[in-house]
Amino acid sequence: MLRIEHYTKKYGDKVAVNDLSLHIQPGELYGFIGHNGAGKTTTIKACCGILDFDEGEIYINGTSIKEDPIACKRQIAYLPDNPDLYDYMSGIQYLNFVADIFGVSRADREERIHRYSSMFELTGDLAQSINAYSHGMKQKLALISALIHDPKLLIMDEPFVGLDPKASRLFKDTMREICDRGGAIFFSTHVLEVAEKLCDKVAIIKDGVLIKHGTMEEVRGDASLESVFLELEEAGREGAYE
Amino acid sequence: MNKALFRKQLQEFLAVFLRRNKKTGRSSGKGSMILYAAVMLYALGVFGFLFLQVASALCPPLVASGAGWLYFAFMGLMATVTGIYGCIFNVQSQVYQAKDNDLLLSMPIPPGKIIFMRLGSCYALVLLMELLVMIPAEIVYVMEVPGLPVLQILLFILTVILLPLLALAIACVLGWLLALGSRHMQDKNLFNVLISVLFLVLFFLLYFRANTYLQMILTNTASLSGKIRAFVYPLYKMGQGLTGNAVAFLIFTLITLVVSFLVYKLLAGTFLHLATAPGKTKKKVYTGGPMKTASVSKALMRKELRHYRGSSTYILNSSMGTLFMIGAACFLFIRQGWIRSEIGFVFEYYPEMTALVACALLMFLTGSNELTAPAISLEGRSIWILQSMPVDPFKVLWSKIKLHLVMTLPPAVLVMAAVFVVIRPGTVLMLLIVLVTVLNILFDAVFGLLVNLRLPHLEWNDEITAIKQSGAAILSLLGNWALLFVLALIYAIIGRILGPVIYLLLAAIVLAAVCAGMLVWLKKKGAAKFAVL
Repeated sequence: MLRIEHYTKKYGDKVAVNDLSLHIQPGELYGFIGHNGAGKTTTIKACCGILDFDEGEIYINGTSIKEDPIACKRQIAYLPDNPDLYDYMSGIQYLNFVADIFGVSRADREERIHRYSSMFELTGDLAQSINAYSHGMKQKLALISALIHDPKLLIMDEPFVGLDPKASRLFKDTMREICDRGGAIFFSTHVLEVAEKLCDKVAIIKDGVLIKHGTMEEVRGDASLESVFLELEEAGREGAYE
Repeated sequence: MNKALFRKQLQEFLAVFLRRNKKTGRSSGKGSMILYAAVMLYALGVFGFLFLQVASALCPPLVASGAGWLYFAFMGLMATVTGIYGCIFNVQSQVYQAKDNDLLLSMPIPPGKIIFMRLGSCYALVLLMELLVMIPAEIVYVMEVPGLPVLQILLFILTVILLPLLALAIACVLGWLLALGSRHMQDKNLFNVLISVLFLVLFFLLYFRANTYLQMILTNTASLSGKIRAFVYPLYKMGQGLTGNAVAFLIFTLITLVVSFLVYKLLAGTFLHLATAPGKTKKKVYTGGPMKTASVSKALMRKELRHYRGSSTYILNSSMGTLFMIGAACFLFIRQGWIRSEIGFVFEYYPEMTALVACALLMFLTGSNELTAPAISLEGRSIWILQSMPVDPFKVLWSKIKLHLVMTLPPAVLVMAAVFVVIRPGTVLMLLIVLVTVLNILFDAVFGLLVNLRLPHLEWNDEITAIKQSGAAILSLLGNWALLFVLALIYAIIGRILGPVIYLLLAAIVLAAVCAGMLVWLKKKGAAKFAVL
């Protein structure tokens, strides 16, 4: 579903991500973890075609994001870490705008908006201006807009930030459902417990280099994901001191 | 703390003018700053010249009749009104609607200091606008009264520093009232637009009747003196001070400082409440209902219209041309008989030159609309939405061009019709004027977008910095003027040989070619650039 091959991104002389390769299969829920500034957002943005890159290739369902970005974007939904939405629209106007761009039929959009806004308890607020929304409400609206065109691949940066426990729980269930239906999800998180409980596979990135990836069992072994992550971080730091 | 706040405000101010290299993180160098400074100086020169004309008409008779103070009081009044008009909406936008208000208020910074820092940049703007009036006023006065003592010059410099405080204080009170009033409005933007248009109409009524008022001042000096003394007492004292009365100047200084301090205390005391309290507008509840689908182009256009309609700052600063065109059309339709009786002979004797001048004026008027120059910057931090969607970036750019055309073409047609009713050119010239004007509108739209793509500013804290103070907006305006200048220059060199029909036809062909070239660039390179901005 998502194939990243030898992806390298530089900012001037600084290498932000170096030679990263990952393969996310249909049905997989893939966690992407790393410290702040490790290169998670840079990788995620490149996968969505909103950041150009220097070397490597990224394929969505076999289509190169460089060669045909629009075909790729039709199949994905992207959710940034801090979703700034259009303050001058109401919630329902925004959802309709997204649905129009993705060409969602009237019946489908009515059904999905109703389903997801009821699930996130946002239906009553959809006529309100987004300007009046709280951070959590904006996050819920962004999630609904990401689900409105029934994407095959969901790419998200810290999707649980700002969600209340109930919404968070419901969204986790939805993520699982999407993968069970053959979709795939690639998301970054700092909450290792979430990644451990939710993900089929996980990748750990450090200073732009992929240091470990695979199934949860392969990565953590008998230990917890947190201890493995901290161990890898520590090893990297000691290596740097030496 | 003060230094850090000042540096933050300065960085914010400069960021809109400088292009930051995404790869290196470095901003563009001195060259850009020099270019912006040159453009600003040119614009200031044009407005300064207008006020120089007013000062030249007023100063000699008033000084001769011993009412020099009235001259300064009147010029001071004009400077104050100009300053208030120039910054009232900046006060509202930069003080109460800045996106980093919450962040700054969460820090251990007294609200008074935040207000002080924000007002600092508003003060700079008012100072700039007042200088446009006061410097010509002093130049004319120095020329009229030779051998002025150094003290007068010193007092003038102090006046230039103090007077903006007075204008800013009034603008702050009005801005505060607007912020207070609009909190209860369901449609704040409409409220702001109406208030601003009202200001503008008043400003232009005064401007168009300037000659009548000047005559009135000169013939009714005695009664006007009494009114100035009664209604604008600080300016009366300022005028007296600038003509040699040191005590009067001290009174003016004292009044200005006290008023400014009181206003500052009022704002500082209410800032936290006004900047953070939610408006008391009625909550709308979504009740469902059938949904409508739209094509991608229609959805993008609807989005642009909603953005435009949702921002009074965008409406007021980028589409003043629409208002000017409607105003000009009304004036021409209503006063066509009078215009023809006064200068109709010019249209009869010089029909070709009349057509060319009319075309240039139409180009200037339509060029006052600048909807595309800030259009990309206005996407701000929500640009990821369009970038991550499966839509051709050129379609997005085209929707921004379409907004410019939608807001400019209808009033342009109206004003063109009014011009044709008055000057009555032949059919061929009429068609060519229409063609050149329409192509000029397209040029402005595409050029503005192109400049904004080169100079995007997405990390703004308040919209006004992206709209009013950005390098893209200034360069786009300069592009329109440069085009007019080049066309006039070409006419001066070969226009007479070609004749107006061939000249306008060639101008249309060149404009069409330039527009096509820019559109091709936007489609090929601009779209790719927008996708990863």
